[in-house]
Amino acid sequence: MSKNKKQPAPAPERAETEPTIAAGGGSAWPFVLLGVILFGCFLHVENTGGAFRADVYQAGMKTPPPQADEPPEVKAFKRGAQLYAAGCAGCHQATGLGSAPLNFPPLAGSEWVLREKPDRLVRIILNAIEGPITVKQVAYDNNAMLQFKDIYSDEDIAAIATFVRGNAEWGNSFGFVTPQQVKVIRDASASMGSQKWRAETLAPIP
Amino acid sequence: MTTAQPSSQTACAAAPSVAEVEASCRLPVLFLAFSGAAWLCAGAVLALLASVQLYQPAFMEGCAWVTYGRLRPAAVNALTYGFALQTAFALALWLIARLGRVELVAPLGLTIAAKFWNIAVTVGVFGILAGDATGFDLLEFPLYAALPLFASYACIAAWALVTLHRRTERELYVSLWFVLAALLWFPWILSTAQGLLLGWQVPGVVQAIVAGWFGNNLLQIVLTSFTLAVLFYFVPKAVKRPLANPGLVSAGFWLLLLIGGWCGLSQLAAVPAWIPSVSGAANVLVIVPVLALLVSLWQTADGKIAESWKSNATFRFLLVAAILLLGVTLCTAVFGGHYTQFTFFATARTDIVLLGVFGLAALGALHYIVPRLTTGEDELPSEGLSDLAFWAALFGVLAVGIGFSLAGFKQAAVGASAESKFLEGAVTGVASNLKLVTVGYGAMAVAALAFLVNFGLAARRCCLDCCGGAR
Repeated sequence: MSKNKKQPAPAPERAETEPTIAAGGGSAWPFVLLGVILFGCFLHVENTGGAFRADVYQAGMKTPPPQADEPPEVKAFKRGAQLYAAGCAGCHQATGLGSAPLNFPPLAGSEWVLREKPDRLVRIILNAIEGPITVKQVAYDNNAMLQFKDIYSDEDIAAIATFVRGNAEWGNSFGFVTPQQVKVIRDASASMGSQKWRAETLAPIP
Repeated sequence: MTTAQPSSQTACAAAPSVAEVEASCRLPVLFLAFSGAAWLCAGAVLALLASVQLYQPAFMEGCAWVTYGRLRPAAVNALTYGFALQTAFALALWLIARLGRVELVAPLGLTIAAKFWNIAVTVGVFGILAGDATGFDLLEFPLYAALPLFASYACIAAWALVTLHRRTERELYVSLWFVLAALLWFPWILSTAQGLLLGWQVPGVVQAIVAGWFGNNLLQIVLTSFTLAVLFYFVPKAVKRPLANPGLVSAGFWLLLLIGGWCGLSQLAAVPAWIPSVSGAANVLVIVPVLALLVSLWQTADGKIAESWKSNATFRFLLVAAILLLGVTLCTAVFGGHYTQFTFFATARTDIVLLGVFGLAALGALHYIVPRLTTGEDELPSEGLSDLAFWAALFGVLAVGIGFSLAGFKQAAVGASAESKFLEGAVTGVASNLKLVTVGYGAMAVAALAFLVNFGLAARRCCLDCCGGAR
């Protein structure tokens, strides 16, 4: 440490030299180094930068796979497949065949599903059905079906109905059900409250 | 910028004497320096308490005001705004007055603005502790503290720039380039970040980018520039040689400003991939300007480093700060990518830049400035306390930096392997490193306290000399 610690306060005009700059100088090496590193940086950004696209979030993926916007029918069918797996397949099975020994009626090829209009199907999904019913010449009597009117929205129920009616794997080939159709039926059957349909009350529905 | 001769020939006839310049600096610079060191002490204590909770979760439980989520931001913001920026203003004012050979404009106004800055920081820290933090890294102060903070900054910077404009020594020395850059850079990033985050309220992903951009610019441009201003002023002065290789310095200056702002976003998650990619590239590129600037300093001091270390209390701080600047730049370039994402590694970088690079350089500069503005001597009154401040600060910075870095690497290793157990490896497994961090913050507080006591002794002696007899 300094030896002049105990000096008396120096005169105000003591020589205080400020730092100066030496003449000359200048080097090229920073720019050479910059160029070398910059080359590496371009490689790095080329490999991990996702081509500067705003929709690439994963490093290393230069361009995302093209995602053509699907038509609404296909979207609804896919959504319906997910919802069916979650809410329906437990009883009616992934095959849509149900199970006669366990008293679960089938949906594949069912005359209750395959009608010109989806009115019966949507009503059954909304308010459920109970009591004796004959499907494909087999009698069932099951009160276990859940009411989905408070669980799924119009879009969801339309998607399920689209999936069930149009599932080619089951041999069903009917068309797209729209959320508007579901809404109309939901409003029309609002007066039923939580009462379930029966085969005979559903019979007048086309 | 080739040959600056800040001598009486180039200075105009009206140039004030050194004594007059120092007299105008005395009040604002000493006030800023003292408050800054006091905030360093307070912030280190807050950070110490927060770090204990990392391995003793039950420590101080039950009171919302002192939970980790409030204590840690309060500590970091106290250290950033209370200590680092405040001390930087003291250094900037002093460098402008000395190198420009000009008396400070409105020293009283500057002191009042500095007083308001301190009030705003106090309100902000208590706002964070009360739960009003904004949640953006390094910008946690709530709006009611951030706006007065910006207003008092505007006053300080405006008077600093007016002083600079009135300088009698027209040639701008290197240190003033950095001071000017930092003084202009800070309001730009602060107003942009606060406008976008607190005013405009940009959507989620953009918030992370803006906050990360601000935090990095604060560390990489503003605080690093103040550090370099100090280094370029005191190193030639300590070794009594002209600054070598000015061409290198001007290349380094512009490249730092050009590249530095791109760094620091390399660990962002859930943003478009090009942002971390480009930022990681900038982390590596910024080595070039840092290296160029440090090589110039090394060429200046080469051969007299050991001698200056022994004879000059300031030079020791500056040497360590320069080594830490190189170290943290290289470390961030090599390890600052995805590998250490979501670990304490980023915390280590913040704390090393705040307390190590800037903190040590600032403490060193204050060990030169404060005695000149108080007693008029070359050294602070107590040599023992100066030594204590240096060694405690050095130990503290190393303990905090190494502790957090090692904890970060351990966590990164756990994150990289699916087999390792997260809780054992990354939470309880890093407790020993985090205990080192606690000790480090304690040492930082001791260093700040030693400096404050030394400061107080000098001020007391000054008062006794000047007016003690009259009273």
